[in-house]
Amino acid sequence: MNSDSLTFNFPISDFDISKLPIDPAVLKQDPEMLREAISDYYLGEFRGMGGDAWVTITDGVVNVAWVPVSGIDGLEEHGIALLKRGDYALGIPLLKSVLARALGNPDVLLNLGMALSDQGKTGEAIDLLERLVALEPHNVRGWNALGVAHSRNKAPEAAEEALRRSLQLDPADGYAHRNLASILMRSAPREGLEHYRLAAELLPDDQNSQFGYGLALLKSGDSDSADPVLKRSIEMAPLTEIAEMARTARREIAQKSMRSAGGSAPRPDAIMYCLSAIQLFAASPELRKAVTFEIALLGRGGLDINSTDQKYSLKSLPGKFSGLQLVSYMYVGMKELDPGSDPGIDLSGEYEQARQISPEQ
Amino acid sequence: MSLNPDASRLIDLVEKQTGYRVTLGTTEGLATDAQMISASASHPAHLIDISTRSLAVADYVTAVQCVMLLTMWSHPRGVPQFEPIEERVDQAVREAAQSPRLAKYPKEAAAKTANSLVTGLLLQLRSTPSELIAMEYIRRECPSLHRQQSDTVNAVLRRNSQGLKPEVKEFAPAEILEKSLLLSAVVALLWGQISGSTAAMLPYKSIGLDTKAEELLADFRAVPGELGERSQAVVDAWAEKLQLLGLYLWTFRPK
Repeated sequence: MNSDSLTFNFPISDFDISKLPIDPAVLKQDPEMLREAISDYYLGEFRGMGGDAWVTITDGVVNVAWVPVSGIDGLEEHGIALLKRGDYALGIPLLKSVLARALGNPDVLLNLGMALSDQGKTGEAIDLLERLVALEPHNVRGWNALGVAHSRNKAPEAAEEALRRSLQLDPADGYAHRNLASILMRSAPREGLEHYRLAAELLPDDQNSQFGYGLALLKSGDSDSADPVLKRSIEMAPLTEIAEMARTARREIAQKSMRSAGGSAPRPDAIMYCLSAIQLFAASPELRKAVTFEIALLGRGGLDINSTDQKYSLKSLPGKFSGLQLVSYMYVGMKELDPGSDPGIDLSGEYEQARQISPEQ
Repeated sequence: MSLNPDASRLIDLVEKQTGYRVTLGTTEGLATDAQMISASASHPAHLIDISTRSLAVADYVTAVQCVMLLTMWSHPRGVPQFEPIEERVDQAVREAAQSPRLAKYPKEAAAKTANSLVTGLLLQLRSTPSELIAMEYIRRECPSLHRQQSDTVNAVLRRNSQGLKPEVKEFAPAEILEKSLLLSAVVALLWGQISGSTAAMLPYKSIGLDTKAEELLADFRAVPGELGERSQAVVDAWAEKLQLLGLYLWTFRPK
């Protein structure tokens, strides 16, 4: 290989075979297929970046050589871009190779350290990030990443120290507030809540910070303030795992406030709504599916079940309804259509009592 | 709603072309990336539920479901419904349950497994052409979704290749298994052509299904028409080759 080529190698067992389009169990039975698939993976990645690549696998070691079209300048940017799009299988060995040529490159130390930390290789990550902050003691992101790596390494004290250092250097760093908050919520929840508040203020478009703040408010017992914050975190990006967790938290809040309003016993108003739904669906079975479906659709935006205001209307049924009334209708409809279904709220006590007093049953 | 612009554009297109709103939600416990219910008079909206397992690729999954809706709703005769013919499917299930690989199990277990394999194969026959149409459509029309497409298709191919595990060969009747693997091989073959990857086809080459997969893909390419008509015609062409004709019929729901 000439000086403009890049080479790296690693044990085949280090390759993340879940990246490949073949079931791992099938690959493990066929070493030749595994070799071909890994080779194809790297050739494909390098093809996308231009230049020529060679991949050989001998004695359980993958050897990769690449001659980029434009020489190896810019490899650092390539590697960092790969990590940012989550391509660790190529990004990590590439940046390790760059680091071997330029030992003290701060950008490589930071990005490689964060990627290794994301991959759970926290020991290696901490080594690199400690090298970074030793080289650049004022590197805010370096201290922040080091704190996260320590936290993942189950060393909360070291994590707290690194994150506080990051905040000393830049008190307006929202990410450091957020990361410190998540650690303090276990040991010092009041201070944790305050850091989450600051993170949410400094990072108004960061879903993680909004959700963390909402959850911290909820844990502190302030569910009235928590609910709108959680709602906002869902609206920011509804199809994410964080939004899903926020939805679960909001359902718990709604259920809790509904129950606390009437104690733990079944609520008479919900019993009456269930009863009227049983009677409605018995008299007009064709409405069951349409009404249930329409309420389920409406409920995706969130129904306010703790207000008695009749502020909702349906296309399939005339009149105005309260949130609890609609949820009760939906509960009955879903249970009648499929007794094993999960309507997302527990009105089983109310439904059972309504069934007992209903002449239709 | 902060969806990717290409996914949002497809939602707008579905709403414009079908006249019904698209509603997105999430759900747990799905074996696939999403479930979709097409709108009808009693369900006045298209419902797309993304599996909570697949939220990292929610934009691509949404786009696929939208292309499937566009496919279904573009058929000139109405919204096509693939309806298995009960008595013929029952007959196929009985025959499968008596195959050597299943006959060694207790009758009830054999019948249940045979039913799941036969209905699963029909589902695969019905959905694979529209899956290929969506794969090509998104590759062509939605450049911002290419990365998510690679991740999702690779995950689909991984799931599909589980059919090659020895434990599956233990119980799945050879004829049904081969047809199912062949349909999976067509997906792998098309993805290989789109992405340039050769790895996807390796499992199917190893069992000699590459030539047959090329024939089915050639049928897919040869069928004229767009979206809905094309999807239905490919299902029928493949069903003839796989000897599955007569197990289902098409009906059309008014739009």
